[in-house]
Amino acid sequence: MSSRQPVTDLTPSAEAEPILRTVNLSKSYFLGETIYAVNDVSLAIEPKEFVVIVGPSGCGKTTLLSLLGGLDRPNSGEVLLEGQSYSRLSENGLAQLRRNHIGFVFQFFNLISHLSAMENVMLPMRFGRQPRRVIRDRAGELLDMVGLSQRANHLPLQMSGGEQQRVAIARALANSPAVILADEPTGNLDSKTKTEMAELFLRLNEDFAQTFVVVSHDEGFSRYAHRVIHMQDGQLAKVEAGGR
Amino acid sequence: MFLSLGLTNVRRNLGRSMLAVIGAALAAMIMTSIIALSGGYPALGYAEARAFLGADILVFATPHLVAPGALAQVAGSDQPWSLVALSRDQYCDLHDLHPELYGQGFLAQGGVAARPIDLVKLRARLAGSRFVDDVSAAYFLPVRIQFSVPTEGGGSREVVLNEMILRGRDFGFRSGDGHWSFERLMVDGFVPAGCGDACALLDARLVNLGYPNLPALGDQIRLFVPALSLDDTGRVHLDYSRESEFQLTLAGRYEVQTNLVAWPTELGTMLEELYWTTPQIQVPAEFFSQVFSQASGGRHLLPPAMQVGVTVSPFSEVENIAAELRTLLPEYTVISVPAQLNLAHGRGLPEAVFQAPLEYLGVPTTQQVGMHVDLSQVFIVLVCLIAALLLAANMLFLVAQRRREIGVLKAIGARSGDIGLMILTEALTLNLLGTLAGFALIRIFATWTLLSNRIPLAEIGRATLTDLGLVVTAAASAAAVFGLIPAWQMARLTSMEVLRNE
Repeated sequence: MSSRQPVTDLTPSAEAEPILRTVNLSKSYFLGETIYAVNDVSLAIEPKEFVVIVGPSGCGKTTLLSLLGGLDRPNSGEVLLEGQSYSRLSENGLAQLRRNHIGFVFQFFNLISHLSAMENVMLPMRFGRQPRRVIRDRAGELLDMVGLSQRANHLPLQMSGGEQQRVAIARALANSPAVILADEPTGNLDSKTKTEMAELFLRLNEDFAQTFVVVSHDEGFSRYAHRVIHMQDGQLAKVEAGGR
Repeated sequence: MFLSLGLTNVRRNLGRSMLAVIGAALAAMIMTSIIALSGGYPALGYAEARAFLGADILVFATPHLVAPGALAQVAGSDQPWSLVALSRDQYCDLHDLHPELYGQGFLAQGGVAARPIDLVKLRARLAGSRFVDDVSAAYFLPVRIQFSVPTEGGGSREVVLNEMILRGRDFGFRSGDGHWSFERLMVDGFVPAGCGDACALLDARLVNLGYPNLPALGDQIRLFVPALSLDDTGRVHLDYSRESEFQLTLAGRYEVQTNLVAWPTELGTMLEELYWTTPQIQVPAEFFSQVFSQASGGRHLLPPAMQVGVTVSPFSEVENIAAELRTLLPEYTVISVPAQLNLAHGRGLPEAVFQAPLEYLGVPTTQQVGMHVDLSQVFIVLVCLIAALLLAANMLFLVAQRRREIGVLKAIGARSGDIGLMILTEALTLNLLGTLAGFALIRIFATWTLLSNRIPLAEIGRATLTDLGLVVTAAASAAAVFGLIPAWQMARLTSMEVLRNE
């Protein structure tokens, strides 16, 4: 365990109610010895904010993201979404939270391979009770928003990496989540597509006030971020303003 | 939603679905085969003998048949043993199966008088056994018959057949039960209009016993029955000096093929079909009752049962039930028809052999038959376990391939229960398809065999539905259990655990 004092990032405003907040969050694994993937991290994400988390491989970025998204449970500390703590939520409660309030974008897209682009986008909405026609209309709008309306009936394998990732973004937006958590969303894309993807994130943030927390090695994202958080050894090493 | 998602998954992953269906079909084929075997679709010989005898197990109102060497095994009794021979007056099917008992006799314990069986009491005692379908009495009386046969000149002459046996039996006129019906037994003839009809069946192969002339179907037969009386023990005494006469119509002919013997010759393989030919003239139990009453001068309405048949279902339970009956009814002789036929085949009995060298029938033996132990249940369990393992592997494969998908579904908000439902839908759908395919494939062959054995269509249909229910239930249960266990384990993992390992 590092002896360095953790950076507590509750900026930019301690008075405004953050949309997502962690308090002394820690997650450790026992691999012969106890390894802290996330160590005593406190941070706050404001509504409409675009935050990028950077850091070397193994520094705990993805673990932090999974804790923020309720995909994993911390050993200690708390995560609060719109003031509500995850800690008392059951597995089903966490599932419901992920379904209604959080969108995920993964490095490897993680689309369901035998479902079309339209069906993949419809999937999170189908967990709810909306009529199928409403769901289909909404999915169509989202695909249009990411510029893929003409590819709605294609299967993931019939699409390029960039197109697949755009479908994944549309899926993440399906239930109008409070925040989208993206884990290396451009890690599997070529440089041209990376730029397009970063610009798509920016457009969604600017036009639709969508909050983003993006884990990325890609410098391109930092240009569009409000804040860039540097992680090292499971802790917040440095917080600096992004390119906006 | 997850139901339809499960069905979509089945449709869209055709390769994986086909693989799962084939696996399920294989399991269903295994289960269908073993159920068919265990349910007992008897081979031609046994099926015919079973129909002829009307039972799987015969209970005789004679003392125990005991080989001398086995005396020590019959413990707990101080009754003296004596050598007795079968009486021709007390004809029963044992006469055909063990003709040597006429001459050699057998050791009997206690009083040698045959004790009639109280059918009502016996039925009550067996009422609790779920494998016993029916308990019915078979009645026998020595008779002679007379009928006319046409001559070459256009006239007719009278033929008398002595030493015939009148067998009264329940032909199963009960509606819906075609098992022991006239149609089941007959090779030709017609179905009489009612139970009380004075109609009869004759063995079509009586020529084998030296009776070349037989009446034609629909001909009248004169039946002569000796006067009879019952003593205090229920034993029937016959007076051949006084006879009663009855008129019968020949409704049909039956034959009981029991074996097919093949032996090599210089000209190639020779075949001989063996038949159990009996001098029995079979009449409905109701008519037999009338005959008995009239022959006894109206003094006895209900003849005492000297032989009772017990029908058992499924076939694999025959030996178990026979063993239970031996314990339950120590005062009677209980034999299982399959066991006796096995023995009889080994000795060239009861069918007459005309051509086949005797060595091709097996080694003749006079030893008491060893008790047959039914191991079918063990095999059924083992084979069903193998089928279940196949289904388990199938389901594990189905779920293991879905780790990433399950992780993604969890990440975007699916609950564990939803995922379980989705997997279950897929598992059950694929297994149902596979099970139906496998069942149909095997069943086509089984139905062909059953039809070849002259099993009635209604009975085949009934057996098919029963077996289908069993196979589908077993396969669905196995699919549900073995599909849900890995799905539940997978659903318990957090999305991160799944996605990280992918």
